[in-house]
Amino acid sequence: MLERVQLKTDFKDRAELVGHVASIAPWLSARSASPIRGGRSAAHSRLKRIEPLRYARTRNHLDGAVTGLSPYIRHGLLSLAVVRDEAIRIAGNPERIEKFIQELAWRDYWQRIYAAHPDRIWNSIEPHKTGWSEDDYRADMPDDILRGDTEVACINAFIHTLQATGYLHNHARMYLASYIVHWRRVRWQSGAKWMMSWLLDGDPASNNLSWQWVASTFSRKPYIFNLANVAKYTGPDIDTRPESNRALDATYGELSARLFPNRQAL
Amino acid sequence: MIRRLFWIHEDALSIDHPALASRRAGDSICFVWDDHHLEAMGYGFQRLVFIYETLSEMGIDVLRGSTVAVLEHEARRISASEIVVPATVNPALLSMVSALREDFRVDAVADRPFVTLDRKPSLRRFFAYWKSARPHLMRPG
Repeated sequence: MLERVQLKTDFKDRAELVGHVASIAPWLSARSASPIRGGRSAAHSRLKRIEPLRYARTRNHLDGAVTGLSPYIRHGLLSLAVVRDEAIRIAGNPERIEKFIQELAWRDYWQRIYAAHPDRIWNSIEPHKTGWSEDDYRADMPDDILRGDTEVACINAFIHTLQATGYLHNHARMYLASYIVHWRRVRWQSGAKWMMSWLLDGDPASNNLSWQWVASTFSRKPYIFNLANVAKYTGPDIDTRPESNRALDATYGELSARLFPNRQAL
Repeated sequence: MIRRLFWIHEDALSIDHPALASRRAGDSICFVWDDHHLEAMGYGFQRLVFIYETLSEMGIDVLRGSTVAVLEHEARRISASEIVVPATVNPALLSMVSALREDFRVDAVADRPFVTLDRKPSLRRFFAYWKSARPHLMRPG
């Protein structure tokens, strides 16, 4: 006969709740909580603060008017329809916030693929367009990436933010994914699994299909970036000095030739 | 009167979900803390805290064990013949729903759709989908 095991849900403070979760998640070694709070009240408080009109202009900047709603959407505390309604209420007219609505549509799109083709979540949808084959990518994650101790300062900063908060701005996720797949030639699946293990909002569809987009197995070309682009979209808290980020300090043409030397032969 | 068990999972942690709209006072709502499933999904510690904080605020029962076994036991305990669950696309949760359907009626209730399209959109690239969805989404409230 199965014993009914009901877990405690009343806690005197957050520290007690965190300790309780540690006791019922013995398979995990990390033990610190994100500053981002769970719960309906936190979700609705954040929803009230969205700035859909500023979003289009600033969203690519790490300090731009992104909503931070992704953990609440991922876990169903807020539906895409509710977020759209609230954004239109604030803006007065959907035409003024098309970019914002389009970003919500990306999640709907990923979920539709997940429903129709669950096999595409962990398998490459198309061949790489990098001149490399699947077997050219290493399966294991390099230790320096796991530790956030690579030779690239801005990449280390992104890893530290991810690991400290369970959250990373979308642009920084793309930089990080691109660095892991193209500079370090790691299989996108390994990077996606690692990133999802840290994210509060990691969803197999949004996360993995975005990694495939970066890798070029779900896009027409690989996504790469350079140091000038990072410097343009980050603030003074990210070290973008050339001497600390040598691997990124080049033009797109130089990087493309360096990272994909076989690509021209395609 | 049909007794129902409401099962909430990590893809729909909301008391406002339409799956719960038909609940009555005294109905049982539960989340199953399934170590094996949570570990297999690759959720990290910070995420588990986020989920638990949400559950704690929802004021529902959190039961520990293997999801299907716990739900079957709970449904029999309260003499429920139907299990109501928010719809999901997660294959791991869908296989649990299939297993439950061997002995119970399971009603998977979808959330309010973001967009309802007349025809299945092309999913080959985002902008093909966007072309179909845009006219519906850009319509004022």
